[in-house]
Parts: sequence; structure tokens; C-alpha cells
Amino acid sequence: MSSTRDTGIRAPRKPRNPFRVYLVPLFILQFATFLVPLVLFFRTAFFKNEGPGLVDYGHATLEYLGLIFVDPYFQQVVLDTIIFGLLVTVFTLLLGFPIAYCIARAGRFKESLLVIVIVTSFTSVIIKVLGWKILLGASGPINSILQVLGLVDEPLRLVNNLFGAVVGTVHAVLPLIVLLLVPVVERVPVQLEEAAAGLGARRLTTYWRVVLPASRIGLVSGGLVAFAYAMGSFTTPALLGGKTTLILPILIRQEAMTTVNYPMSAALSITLVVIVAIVTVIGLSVGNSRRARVRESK
Amino acid sequence: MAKRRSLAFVTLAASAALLLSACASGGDSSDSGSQDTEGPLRVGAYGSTWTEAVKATAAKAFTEETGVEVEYVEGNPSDVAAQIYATSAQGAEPPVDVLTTDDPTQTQLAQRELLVPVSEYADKVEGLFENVPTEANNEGYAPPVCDWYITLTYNKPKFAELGLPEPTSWDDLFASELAGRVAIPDITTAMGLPFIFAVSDGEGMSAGIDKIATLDTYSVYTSSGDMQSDMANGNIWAAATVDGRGWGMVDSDPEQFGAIIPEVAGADGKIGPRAGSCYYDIVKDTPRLDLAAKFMSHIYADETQAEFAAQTGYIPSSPSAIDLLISKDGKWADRIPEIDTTVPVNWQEVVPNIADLTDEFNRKLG
Repeated sequence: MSSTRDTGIRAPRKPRNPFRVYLVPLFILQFATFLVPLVLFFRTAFFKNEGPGLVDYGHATLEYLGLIFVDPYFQQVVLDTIIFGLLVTVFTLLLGFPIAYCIARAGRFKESLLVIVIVTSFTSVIIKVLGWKILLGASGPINSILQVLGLVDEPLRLVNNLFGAVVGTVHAVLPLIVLLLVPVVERVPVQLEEAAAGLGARRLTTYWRVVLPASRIGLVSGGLVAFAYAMGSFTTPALLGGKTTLILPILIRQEAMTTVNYPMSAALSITLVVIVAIVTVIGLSVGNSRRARVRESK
Repeated sequence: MAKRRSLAFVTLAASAALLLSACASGGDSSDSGSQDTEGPLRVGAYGSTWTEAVKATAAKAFTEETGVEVEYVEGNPSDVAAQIYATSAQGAEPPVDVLTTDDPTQTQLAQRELLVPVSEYADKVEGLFENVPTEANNEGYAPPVCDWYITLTYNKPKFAELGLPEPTSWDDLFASELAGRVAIPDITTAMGLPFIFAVSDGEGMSAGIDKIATLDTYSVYTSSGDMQSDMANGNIWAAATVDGRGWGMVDSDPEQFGAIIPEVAGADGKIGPRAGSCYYDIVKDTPRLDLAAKFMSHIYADETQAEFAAQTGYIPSSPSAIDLLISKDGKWADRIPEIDTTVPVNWQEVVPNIADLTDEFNRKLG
């Protein structure tokens, strides 16, 4: 990349975006209604719990954050949360990318398919969860079919466990990820696929060896969105995951609303935010290094 | 350029208006010492059938008398109490004026002095302390409006198919034939702690949790509506639930569902547990004390209690309300046990340990 030092010629200034001023109200709103309450809440993690809803701000402590690191129970909850997040991410991308590819390459049907995807997201999460509870239930249609076909003797446990939680959450976040990935696929020139076909590659080979690698950066971004969604997901894992799927959002809610231990709830919240932040930074670094390599190769 | 400036100004003004409206305190603000007589009156209620029954009984009569509407904040008492703790810490107006409480919630709120003592409004509420056999959970605060029990609700045809006799004790929930097909309440629900007590065999709550950890459950539910849906769909065949829900299910389909208040092991043949009572308490610092007391008059009236029981299945505390209920429908004579034959949960012992018990429950069942 040329610079003033190399050529002695100053690079032309980028024109100022005249619409930046419209971001100011957004930042003010975010600061006042999101950042400030968040910081005030996180602050309680460093003070002693005095009873339901009572925090002793004169008694600083790292007890609650420390517990998360040393207590095997909390370590397990953190690990289960990360596993849950990763499972949702992987399966969302596995399902979402092919759907996005089909939509992106659907020609004149693309808009209709996009509308279908958007309309599915209009359904409330609660309705979706209730639907899954019926479908996945011990006496539900899936188990009934499996038993009628003789594939299982006893109903499979498909709900009130990690499986149910992952299925429900993937279903909830899938429309969003598909919408994010469609433009990613559209940026892959069709000519590349045609060239691959011309060289004798089958469709699956073209998909695997041409389209997917070319979409890697977008996949990383989509994956980060899915991961962040899963890590903050409460309703679906609470209703479909049962007692054995105890993840951070559920425990945070319990500490805040049942035992009303604000410092512990805040400490768990900080942990959740830090995990998502670390994964996001790693994901962005991977994406940026990939972007840099692509630019250099050009 | 001028257009852009105008657009920027409009955007900024709209955002400022939005921010100001978000920061404005909710509800009518009243000067300190003066009472809000306009309402609406905000009542914390369980939701679902409970709220519907309140709307149809006490709230309807209250609104007809005063012209003041009632708004509902739905949730378990502990959830609404958490909001009260938060507003109290900020010195803000409480989120509700009247709250449905249960024993642990009333105890915790009373300890924090976040409820109005009865002495401050008893003269405004007719018949508040008449004929209430169960002692007030917390001296000086509202007496019970209904008593409730934990029932074992079961699928009758399924029990017959499995060759299981109709259940009589809590140990029947642990039958191997029911493995993976029972539902129990989570400790965070109002039924959770009483259920642990029910299966503890009199050896303490930790023993109860240990015993529950051996149970192969289909679900540990946080919503009894959820449980009812699972039972109706055939996913579960037996469940521990509150009596109101259990009787409601029996009434909806007596061929399909049965419910009993089982025998509690280690309690000399007594049944239960008598999980406790429900109360209506006025929240401290409400600007609608007079309206709240008027509402209490209606909610504690025998006619309301009887009609509420008929709609929800929750047994009234007042004997005269019970008599009224039985006179309307004789089936209640079999459903309402004599107090002396039941085992009560000792809330004074349980409440101080709720946080530890919740932690223990999560660790052993998670």
C-alpha cells in the first residue's frame, strides 16, 4: 500500500460522511439506557451481598468472581454455556449456509424465498418453543413415528435436555443467520462456480471447494452473531433444556430474581460478557487476517 | 445542506423525547402524604387462571364500587418481590400496590419492612381477621386468604395400564414404572420448597433434595401450565403440583386425571404438605393505601373466596367461605381436608435457608 513516505504524494482525503451526525442520538441513547445501567449493575459484583436485594457498597470483595473460577459447579456452568453456544453456532451454520446458498442462487424466486424466511421470524419465540415441546415430547409425533417404524422401543429423550435446547435455539436464530449469509453468497461470483463446473467439478465439489472457502469471512461473522445470540438466550433453553441444561443466562436470572443475590448475578453476567467478548475478538481477528491475505493476494 | 440540518434537528429532537419518556417515572406521582384516588390500582398476581379469577371476582366488584381500574403485574410472588427490592433500594415507588404473597415471600418482605402492617389499614377492611383458623404467617401482616396443598396429579388410564394402584403417598411418585414420565416443580416455583419438604420423610430439606435427585424425571418445570400441557399430551403420567391446578385438571377431564393430597412419610399418617397460604399484602410506600384497603375488603370477602375457589381450585381460609363453597358444590367436601390431618411446612425454618437450598438443588439436579 503506498503512503506519503513512499511517493511524496499525499493520499486524497476520504470525503466526510455527512450523515454521521445521525449516529449521535443513537450513541446518546445507548450510553444512557444501556452502558450506564450495565456498568452500575456490574459494579455490584465487587461488593458484599447483605440479603435479598441488599448490597453493602462499603464492603468491597472479589468473592463472587473468585467463586466462578474456583468452584467446580460454576466452572461446569460456564463450560456448559460455551458448549451450548458452540453447538448452536455449528448447527446454525451447517443448516443456514446451504439455505442461504439456495436463496442466493434462486434467481427470480429469491425475493419470495427471502419473504418466507422473514415471515417465519414473526412467530413469537414462545409459540415456537411450545411447538417444539409437542414435536419432541415423549408422546409426540417424532417419537411416535420412530416407535411405529420399530426404530426405537422406548421414546427418545428429545426435550428437557441439551438436545431440546439446541434444537429450539437453532430454530430461533436460523432466519437471522440466513438473512446475514445470503449477501455473503451473492458476493461469490457465479463465474467461479461456472469455471469449476467447466473444469469438471461436480456441484457438491464446487460448493465445498469454491463457494465455502470464498465465504469464509462471512461465515465467521455469521458464526459470531449466532454464538452471541446463543450465549444470551434464556427463554428457549429454560423451557426446552430442563434442569440439566443450566447455563449462565438461566443462573443469572435465578440469582437476580429468586435468591436476589445481585452481586453473584452481576459476577455471572460479567463472566458471560467476557466470554462473548473474547470469542468475538478471536473471530474478528481470524476474519481480518483472512481479509488481509485476500487483499495481498490481489 | 439546509435539509440535512432540518433532518438532523428532527432526529435529535425525537431521540431526546424518547429518552425523556424512558426516564420518566411510571404511574401517577403523588406528593408525599397525599393519596392517589384515581388509580389504576396495581395488583401483583400469579397470572393465568389466578389473574382471570381475580378479574372476575374482587377486581370487578372493586371497580364497580370505586370506578378505579385494576392493572396486573403477573409473576410468582418472589419475582414481583424482586422488583419491590429493586425499587425500594432506589427510593422509587413500588411496582405494585397490592401483592399476592406466599409464606416465604411475605416473610422476607416483612423482615425488610416492605409491607404495610395490618394495623395501618385493618379499620378500612371489613372482616379481615374473622374466622381464620390458620395463624398469620407473620404477626402483624395480612392473614391468609387461601390455603394450598401439594397434590399428586396422575393419568388414571395410564396407571391402570401399568397395573399401578391409585397413588396414596409421595413414595408412589418414585415407582419404577413411572421412570422418565414424572414432572416435579423447580425450587424457584411456589411449589418447589413444599415438594422437597413432602418427600423429605421428616429428615430435613437436604434429605428431600437427595431423594429428588434419585428420581428419573421427565421435567423439572417452572410453569405449572407447562406441566399441564405435558400431562394433557401424554408426555407425563404423574406430577407434583399445586392443588388448584390438580383439581382444575380433574374437573376438566375426570376420566383422564386424578389428584390426591398424599400421605407424607414420617408424619404419622398425616397428609400434605399444607404448603402454606396465600395472602394479599399492601406494599409499603404505595400512594394508593386507601384504594388498596378497599380492594382488600373485596378480596377477603367470603363470596369472593368461594367464587375464587370454584374458578381456581384454591381452598379458602375462612370456614364460612368454605361452607359457602360446599353449599354451591358438594364435591369440595371431599377435597378440603381437616387442618388437623395435614402436615404444614415450617416456613420459619425454611425461609432463612432458601438461598442455600436453591444452590444445593441446582448442584444436585443440574
